[in-house]
Amino acid sequence: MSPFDLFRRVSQAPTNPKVASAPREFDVAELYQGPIQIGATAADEVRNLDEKLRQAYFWIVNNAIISPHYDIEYHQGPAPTYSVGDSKRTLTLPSAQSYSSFILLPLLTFATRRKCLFVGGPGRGKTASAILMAVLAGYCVRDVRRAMQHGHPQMTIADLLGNPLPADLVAAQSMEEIRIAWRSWLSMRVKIIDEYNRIPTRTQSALLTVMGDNYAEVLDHIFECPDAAWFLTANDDRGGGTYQVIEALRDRIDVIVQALAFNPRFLDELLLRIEADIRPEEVVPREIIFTPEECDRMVVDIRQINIPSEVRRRLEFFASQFELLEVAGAQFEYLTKDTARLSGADWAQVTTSDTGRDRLKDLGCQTRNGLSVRNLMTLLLYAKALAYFRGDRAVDLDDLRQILPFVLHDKLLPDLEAPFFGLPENAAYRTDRLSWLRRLFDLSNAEYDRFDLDRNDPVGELSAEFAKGLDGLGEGDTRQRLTRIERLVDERVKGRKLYGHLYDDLLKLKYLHQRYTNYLHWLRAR
Amino acid sequence: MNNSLAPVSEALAAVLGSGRTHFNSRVSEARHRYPGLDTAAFAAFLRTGLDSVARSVAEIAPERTAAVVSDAYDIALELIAQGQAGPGARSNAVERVWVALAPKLARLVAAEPIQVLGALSNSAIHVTGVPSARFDDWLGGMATVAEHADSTAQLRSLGAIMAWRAGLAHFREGAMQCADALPEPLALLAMGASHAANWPLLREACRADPWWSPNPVARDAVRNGRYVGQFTGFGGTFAQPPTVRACPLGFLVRSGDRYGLLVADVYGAVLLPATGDEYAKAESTAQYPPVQVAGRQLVIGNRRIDIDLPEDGMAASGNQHTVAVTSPYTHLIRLLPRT
Repeated sequence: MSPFDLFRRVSQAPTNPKVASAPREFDVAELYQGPIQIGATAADEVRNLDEKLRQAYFWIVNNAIISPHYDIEYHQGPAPTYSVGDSKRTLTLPSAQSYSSFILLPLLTFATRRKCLFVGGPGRGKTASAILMAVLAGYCVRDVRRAMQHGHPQMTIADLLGNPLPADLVAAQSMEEIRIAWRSWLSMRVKIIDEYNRIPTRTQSALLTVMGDNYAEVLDHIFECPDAAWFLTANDDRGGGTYQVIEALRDRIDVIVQALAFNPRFLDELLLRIEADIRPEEVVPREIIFTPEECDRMVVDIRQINIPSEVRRRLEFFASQFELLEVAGAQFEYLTKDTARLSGADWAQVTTSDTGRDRLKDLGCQTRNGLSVRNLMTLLLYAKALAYFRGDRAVDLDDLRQILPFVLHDKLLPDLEAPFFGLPENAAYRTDRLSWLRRLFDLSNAEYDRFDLDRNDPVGELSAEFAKGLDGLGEGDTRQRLTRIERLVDERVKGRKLYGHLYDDLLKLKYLHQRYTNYLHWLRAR
Repeated sequence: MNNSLAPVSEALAAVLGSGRTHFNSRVSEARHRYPGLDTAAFAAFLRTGLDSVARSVAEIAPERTAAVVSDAYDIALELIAQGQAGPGARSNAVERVWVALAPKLARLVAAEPIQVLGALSNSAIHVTGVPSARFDDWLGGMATVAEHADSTAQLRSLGAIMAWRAGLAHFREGAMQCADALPEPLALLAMGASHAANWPLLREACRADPWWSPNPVARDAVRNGRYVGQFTGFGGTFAQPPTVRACPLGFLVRSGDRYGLLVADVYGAVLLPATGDEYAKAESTAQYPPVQVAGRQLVIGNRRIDIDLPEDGMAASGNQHTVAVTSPYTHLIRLLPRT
């Protein structure tokens, strides 16, 4: 490689410099690191994978996808903000390293082997970005292009998964004798489905099996797929495709990223690309290509990232806001939006009868549903991945705040008839779902602070006490704990409205009560 | 003579002439990437740095001249674009390396132009980037020993040893490991020791006492220690009078809300970034031999050293080999060898 190469350069400087607190080692190889790249040094070879991931991010930002949108903002100290336009929208100049979601989210998807959907108008780099992710996994561009599945209205299951061999179809006496020519993309560690909302519904079901259960089935033959990162694109994810995407398939998508508009101020970059006849995906530097072993290691490393209990508690509090719908059920456990949805009742009618609470203040009133277990698991994993990407060993609240809207984009559905969206200052949230979700999390955190739950959380204390185990707990102590639970329930329900977090607290207390009750019975029966 | 008007050598002119389109397109690409690229500075550097390299290679390996010029041209372009070479550069270190040192290494440059010119340029930038390092010493040392290198690996080892001897004290251990990999005569030459000396013994002496050097003049020069720091208002390092805590590598330093790690030896002292955590965790000085301040004197074993500082607030901290003296009345840290 020439020492002066516009597109293959990877910065030798740390991408997220932090003063090391680990034992120091002074490497004389530093002497030879500088503006001239002279090949991989020993120091490069032992580089951490999180650093390699950041190198990949910055290479893509600087050379591949011309994306000047830094919409994932981090701050370190005060950041200048400006109020812009008649609507007084805020422009913030972040005071710490901030990121472009259009590149960061696919990279985190690549690192965690999850599923990412690109949405946005044509020609905005959705497919190019997906191809880059496959190239990062070590595939050559030609193979990636050939393996990419292009959704179209005539796409059959055989087109998607593979064909039985014609000779076998004629000669076979049983299904087992029919061999299947499986499509090559099924065995790849990065899978790309272009325009997935143009795939016919029946074929979508076959795709769902591959996406959800990681295997493909044709004529009773099974092909086990390796763990893979998935990248799907859609020009319009709100029903503008040829076919309505089946709900189960949409639910399998972990994050949704919007391709933002091109800023013409960067036209010179496009011009250079034309003049130099460069396709970024063809000049990805060797240093940022991940081996399969590195990909495996990265997944393991990300899972090891710690989520401190203070952060986890805030997520618990946030998640508990949304499922409660007091008028939906008669029994306490069924006072949920899911109960109303499953009954097929008219949503407007149900919510109209939900009186007595401050519907403006109650965050739960802003949504038509609650969060699923899958959503929460995805959220936790991506929060870990973001912390890993930033070179941290633990998730902080900002990581969670930044990643949450992309995970819940299509999962937490706004109730646009809710009073919150009727306020003029909230009108923009009707269309900007990412900002609404971030606002929702901020409001939840404000409530959390108001209740002072970091310091005053009796339900949390009871849970922690229970988590220590029941071994050796005597009958007297068990009774004492049962009494404490009953008193706490009594205190909580006295003269207070029922809100989502209170509902979940009461259910948790019921759970604890039941566990102690069973234990008490067992003690007596011994 | 004005460099921009000086003719280039025939060797360089021939290569540039034969690849005119290619070389011009490289400049065009660079201007896209670096809109502020100073093409006049680049032209000047071609006539000095690049020409020196091309001329020296043409003399010993004419068949390699075109390849070397092509690679050196790209390196020069990158260096100029980043403001590291040419008339407007932050320092003339790179140019001096290309003009004074690289021609002496023509054999290595001809074989591996990117590796050699890249390593020399990067190391010149690195050494000049360390405020307390002595670039002239590094360049002078390299000019003396580098031509004895048989390979690029040996050249890099020599560069590391010379960087250590030019004041990059934190390279001490790495440089000694580099010397281990060199033929003994070359290691001794790089260390400035007599060719009759024994490298393993010399290395052990260095390891035993960082303030020891095979050169008695160097030892004497630091007998009364060295000063580190100075007030930022006077171009120094510390905004507030520093305090120090001893640690095995040297001293953790605090000045206001900034922290540093001070590594020092007979060849120099380097202040590296550190964290408040590191400062807080710095080991107690109890594990090291005691240091006492008696009035305006420092007592180290049987030695009593006068310190030119007010008695009030003067503090001393010592690790195995070094004692650091600080005072609320100065932004300087005085470092003294224990022996």
